[in-house]
Formats: sequence, structure tokens, C-alpha cells
Amino acid sequence: MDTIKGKVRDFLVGELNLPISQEELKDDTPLLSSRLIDSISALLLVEFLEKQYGIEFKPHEVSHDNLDSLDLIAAFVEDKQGGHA
Amino acid sequence: MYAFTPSAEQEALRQEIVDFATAHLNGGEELRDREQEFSREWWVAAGRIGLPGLCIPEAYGGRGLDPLSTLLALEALGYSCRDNGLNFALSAHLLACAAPLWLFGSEGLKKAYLPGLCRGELVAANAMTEPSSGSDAFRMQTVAVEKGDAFRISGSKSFVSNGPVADGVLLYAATDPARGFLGGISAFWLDRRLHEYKAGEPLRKMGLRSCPLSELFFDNMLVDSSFLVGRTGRGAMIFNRSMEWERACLGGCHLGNMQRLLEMATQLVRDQLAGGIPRHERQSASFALADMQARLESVRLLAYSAAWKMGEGKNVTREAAMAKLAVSELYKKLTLEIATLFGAAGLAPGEVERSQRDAVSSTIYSGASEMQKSIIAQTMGL
Repeated sequence: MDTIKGKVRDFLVGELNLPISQEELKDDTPLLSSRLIDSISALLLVEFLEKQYGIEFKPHEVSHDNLDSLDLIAAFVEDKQGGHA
Repeated sequence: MYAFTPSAEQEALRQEIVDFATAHLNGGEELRDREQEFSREWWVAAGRIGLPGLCIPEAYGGRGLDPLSTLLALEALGYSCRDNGLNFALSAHLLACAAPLWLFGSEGLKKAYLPGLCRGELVAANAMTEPSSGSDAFRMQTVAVEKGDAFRISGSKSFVSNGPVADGVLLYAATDPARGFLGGISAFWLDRRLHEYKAGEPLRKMGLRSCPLSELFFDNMLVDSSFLVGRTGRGAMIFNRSMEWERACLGGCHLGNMQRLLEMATQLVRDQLAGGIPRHERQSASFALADMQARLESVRLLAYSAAWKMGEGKNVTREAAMAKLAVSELYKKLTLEIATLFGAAGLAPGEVERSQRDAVSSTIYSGASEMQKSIIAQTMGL
């Protein structure tokens, strides 16, 4: 899970240019609800996760519940990879 | 770092388009502007050198250009084809319809439609905006309800470029209205021969008049799920990607148009100097033209940079918005400034006058300037 968080952190800060440093972006930092990530960036994040981890978001899964922090993202990806979601 | 020196292939591409457009895509544009008339003949001609499919892979009938080469090709078109409406119609068809169909469509849809779209046999339209959606295009009333292996779609779309003449439409509809942007919008490909929708009468407009604009109406239209583009709920992502292509590349037409107008104005002043007018009397015009040349070159580099980065597979949300904002705002200002240099002649029907009208909507389509500023500000943490 740490690897997932690390890669997503790299993507958010390095690729999406989120206005926050890697160090400041904690595992529980709110992303969507704090507006750190806007709606367009959220879609780019979904695209990245699908390509990177070979998973597929269903329409209802593209939501704050699964994308609002590194903790939630990593848990969702792990669930998907384990076939639980 | 990067340097924007066109490759030999890009130079050859530019020359090919300039030569072709100069010979085959000019003539009658004033009449078409006055009559608000789309030319299917000109569209088919553009297809002869693959203009409707510049960035589509060769396997589907396109020319397989990367984003920067696509931008350069559109710049060559804007420079050499005086019909800005045709140039816009081609660009909207390519960047907002054919490109997303290639990027997200099923193999079946791509094989069935992309070759015709690339060869100039088919015209495509992008149907997104609705009368009531305002600045939030995703708050839409057009709804697609899934019924077994098909969808029933009802609603209407407004300001659809190419709408009255389109053979295919990339339609965005709400499959889960409550979810909206995040998973609630889906994209569909419509075939005019198969799907029962109605196009309204062409709307009158001030510029780009040879690119027809209309409303589209859908009344419980049945669409088989095989015409879904991408997966259910992916419409926002597809639309966003198509807008990135538009913002990064469509400005090429504007850059080309500005360059041509600038050269015309420069020639005008040169002729005045050659005719005996003292240089100091035309210094204000010379300075104005020098200033325009510098501003044009600066936004050109911004556009090249965004398209280049897009071709590198990088996220260009900010860069594409900056390029779109800068090119379109300059287009609107520069066409007016050049007309001023022409004096009364700049107001008479003709290329200079027409370009002023054509330029106005550039700060509105593909997201208005205010929206581009909002996107840029968000990437700055504001």
C-alpha cells in the first residue's frame, strides 16, 4: 500500500502539479473536499490509476469516497486488485 | 529543454498544405460568408490531403500526426485558406469528434467511421452545450436511460458547429444526472442514417459563417449500446480530453490567419513607403506592426510548447488553457488593430473585415477566456 501511495503522491505533485510539496501531502490530506484537486484533475487521477494498476472504476466509484485522500485511494486500489470491490 | 525548429517532415507538411490550400481551398469565401453557406465541395477537397484526419493514426485513414505537427498543419491551413469558417469546421470535426472517437471509441466504431471522417466523406459535430447549462456544461438536461442493450435519449443541444450538415455526432448525455461530472455523463456516437434526431435550422451568426451552427433535438431516440463511446460514465473524461486537443491545436488556424493578415498589413505600409510617403510619417504604423509581430511570436511559442508537451504524453491542463487563452485573446485584438491600419478599407467587406468577425468567437468556444483563467488559477492553487 505504501508503494501505491508513493506512486500516487508522485503523480499528484509531479504530473498534476498540485500546489503542495510531497512532504506536505500526508496520507490523510483531503484532496477533493479541500479542493486541492479539481474535477478535471480527479478524472486524470482516475485515468492514471486505471492504467497504472489495471483496474476499472465503475461510474459510481468515481467519487469522494474513493479519491479524497491517499489512504482512501490506496485502499480502493488494493480492494480492486484483490477482487473485493 | 526543447527548441522549436521544425523538422524536415514538418516543413514539407507545411509546404504541402500551403500549396494545396492556396490552389484548391480559396475562392468564393465572401459569397459563402454572406450566404452563411457550408461547402461540401470544399470539405471533400480538404479530404484529398487528409486535413479532416490530421492526428488520426494511418491505420484508420488519418495522417498520424503528433499534436505539434497537427498544430503546425492547422497553422499552415489558417495561413493559406482564407475561409476561416471552413478551417474552424475542419478543426472542430477533427479535434472534438474524430480525435475522441479514436482515443475512446470501440474498435468497431473506429473501423466503421474514422476512415470516412478522415477522407472528407463524412462531417462530424460535437454536441455538448445546452441552452440552460450556462458555464457548467455538465449540468445537462439531455438524459440517456439504459434499457437492456440500448439507451433511450431525450433532450436537446444548442450551438452545435457543423450540426445541420453532420453525418455523425459525438453526443454527451447524462446517464446518472445526480452524479454529473464525476461518472454521470456518457458519450455516444450518432449516425445520421441510423439514429432518429432532428437538426434545427442553421442559426445566423456574426462570424465563421461558412461553418453552420444549429440545435439538435432528441425525442426518445433509441441508441444501441454498441454506439457508446468509452464506458458508461466516462463522458466528462472524453470531453475534457477533446477540449485539451482543441485548446492545444485549434489555435493553429488563428496563428496562421494572424500571420497572413500581418503580412498583408506589412505589405501595405511597405507600398506606402515605396510610393514616397516619408518613413517618419509611417513610423507609428511600423511600430504597431513590430509590436504585433512580437506578440504573435510569443503566443505562437506558447502554443507550440503546449502541443509539444502534449505529444510527450504529459499533463497539459495548464499549458493548453494558457495557449488557448493567449492565442484567442490576441486573435481578437490583432484583427482589430490590423483593420485600423487599413483605415476605411478595413471595414469594407473582405478578408480583413471578415477576420475581425471570425475572431470574436475564438474567446468563447472551447471554453471562454474566463474558464481558461479558472483552469489556470486552479493549477496555481488559487
